[in-house]
Amino acid sequence: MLQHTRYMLPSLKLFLSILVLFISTSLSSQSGWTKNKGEFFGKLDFSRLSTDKYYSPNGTALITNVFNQNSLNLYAEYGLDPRWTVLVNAPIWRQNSFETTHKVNGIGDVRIELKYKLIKNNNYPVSISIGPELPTGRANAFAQSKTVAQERINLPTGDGEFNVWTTLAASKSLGKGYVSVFGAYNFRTTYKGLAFEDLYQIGGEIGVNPIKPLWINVKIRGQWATGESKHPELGFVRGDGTTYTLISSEAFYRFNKQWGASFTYLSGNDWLAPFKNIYIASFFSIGLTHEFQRKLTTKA
Amino acid sequence: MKQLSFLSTMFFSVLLTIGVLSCSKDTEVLVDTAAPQGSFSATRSGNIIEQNATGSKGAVQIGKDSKGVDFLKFGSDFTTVLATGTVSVYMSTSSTFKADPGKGNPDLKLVGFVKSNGEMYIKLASSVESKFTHLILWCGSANVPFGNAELK
Repeated sequence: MLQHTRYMLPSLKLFLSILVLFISTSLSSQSGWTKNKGEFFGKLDFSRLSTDKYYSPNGTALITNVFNQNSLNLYAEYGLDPRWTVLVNAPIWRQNSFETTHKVNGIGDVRIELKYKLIKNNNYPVSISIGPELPTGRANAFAQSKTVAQERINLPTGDGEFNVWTTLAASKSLGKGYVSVFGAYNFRTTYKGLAFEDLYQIGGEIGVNPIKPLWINVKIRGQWATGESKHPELGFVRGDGTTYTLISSEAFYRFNKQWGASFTYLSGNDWLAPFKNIYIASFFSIGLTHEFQRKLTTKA
Repeated sequence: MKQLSFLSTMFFSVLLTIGVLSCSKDTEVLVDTAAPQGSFSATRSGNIIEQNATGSKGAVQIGKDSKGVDFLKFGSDFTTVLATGTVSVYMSTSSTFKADPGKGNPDLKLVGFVKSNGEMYIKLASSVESKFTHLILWCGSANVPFGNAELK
């Protein structure tokens, strides 16, 4: 049986919905597998998004000044016992700017997730996870124009609200590969008394292991909103009512038992959900991974 | 005699203080030169048409106050998205933002910045030439229009 849990790498943040920023980077919780007790997987990755393609909250395509976002993301999973795994997704650095503005920096919103394996069979596991996302990012970060002193634009590194992701996922081993499907619901709250629309996602993933140290996967997911944004100040800046379809392909290579590297290509289309309120472009990310199995003592 | 001198001094001191305070009160009258003096008379007006789901709307007018100073007025129903940062206000020869910095932007005239929703006046340096038929709400950082209004 394949130990897929070792290879469920987190996907990177693809989009920025002027912020964007608010789309979860992690797809790791979107499989049925959990970590074994004492097993750790961590990843530090870097990505750079640069695009002038923006879709407004009503889906109109626009060409804007070029928007740039650099991200450094820390992701970790740790097995508490055979059924429980804790996951942390921490955007430890975000740098946002337009080509016409100076840069703003900050951390993003940290998500801490607890995952429980409902069906223990490792050939077709099913899990559920609850992931509160804390408003640790900068809810307002104004970037000054380079040309007009009085002009500035808000490019926050967090959405300023507390929200909770709930994910149900199932997986199946297929010889030297696997398949996973998931559904997720993001219960969003408010920012300064203004209520966000909730979001939900469905998606799937296929992975293969052509040679021992190499895993390759392709993923797709769509995101929809429960309604259109009722507050333009949320929709335009804080990712309210953002919808999209994301596809990605990732190669993960293990140098040894502890260290590895990943290379991910991400892009979007309208196969599942159309683009609304989002900056989008195809881009790459690179990551360094570390994993280990903590030695556990057993009582005599 | 000393007592009389002391009382005289006190009396004049009180008078002087009252006089100074009275003068101070006169000079404390503040004139908000950014707001129209007297009544505002509109010469052209229009309504903002929303662009790019920004919720922009409301009445706009250009005109003069009682002293002949030119102003742009946003009505009490004016709203746009201010969470994005600065929204610039341009006069334009059309509803489309046509920047041409190489020729000095002949089709555009930056007149101010929106700082709040609701009624607001922007003092204009001079009368708006008749060729400027539209007002444009513009996000300069992203290069995106938030709305425009034809002024008739």
